[in-house]
Amino acid sequence: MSIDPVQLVKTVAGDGQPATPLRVLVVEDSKANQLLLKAMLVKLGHEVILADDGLQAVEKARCGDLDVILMDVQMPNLDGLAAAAMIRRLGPHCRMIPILALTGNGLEHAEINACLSAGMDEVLAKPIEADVLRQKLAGIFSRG
Amino acid sequence: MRFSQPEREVVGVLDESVTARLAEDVGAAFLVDLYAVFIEEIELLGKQLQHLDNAAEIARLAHTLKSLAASFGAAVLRREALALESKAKLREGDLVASKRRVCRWISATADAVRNQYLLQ
Repeated sequence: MSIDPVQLVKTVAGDGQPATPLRVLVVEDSKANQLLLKAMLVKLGHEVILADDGLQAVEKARCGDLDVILMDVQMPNLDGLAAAAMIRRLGPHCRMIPILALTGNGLEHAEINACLSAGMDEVLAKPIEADVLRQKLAGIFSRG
Repeated sequence: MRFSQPEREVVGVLDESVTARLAEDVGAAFLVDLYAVFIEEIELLGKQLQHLDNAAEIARLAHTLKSLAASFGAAVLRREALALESKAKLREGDLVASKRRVCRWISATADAVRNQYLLQ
């Protein structure tokens, strides 16, 4: 999906339902956390694709057509750091997808650095709030 | 029970500020469904935890539990899972006792959620 950045800022920053839904890949090993994030994103008007671990995330990113990835950091099979680094190497279309890390460790300096070094754009600490999610999506796209 | 400084205010199993926000974020009706999935997941993790002896595996499971508890406002379970994760990572302290504490809080959290959301 090709998104006009100006339209996207209007989309995610405005109140209520966005005019252009984003395709958001949620990567979480916990079913309850997956469903919670999905519910928040759907309520914000976005389309959600789910992945259970980093391996699935890399496969879904390879297929393309994603606007944003929300990636848990610690997962079985392939963790979020390794998955983000692999996604960034998949090709030009994957280098530009914003990846937001989701961590259960709080915003520790070392974890933030590890996430940014792996190619992620932002780090969010759990519990995730819908309003924070909306603002973070808006912030990422407003930076262009 | 003695709480460490940042958690001295936590008096209940569920943090009402988180549960109230969740109800706003996803709707009260859907939150009931989500809590049913949450209970199923923490109880399954509790059963798995009872059979784990390897410290690295215990740390990984405790982290998952901590993350889930944080998302759903299970404040005490989050704290106990964090304590278990830290001990398992450092391979120090009584892991068996800490595992037992976490399992007790899984039961207490599941009971609290059932009473508050599922038995209405």
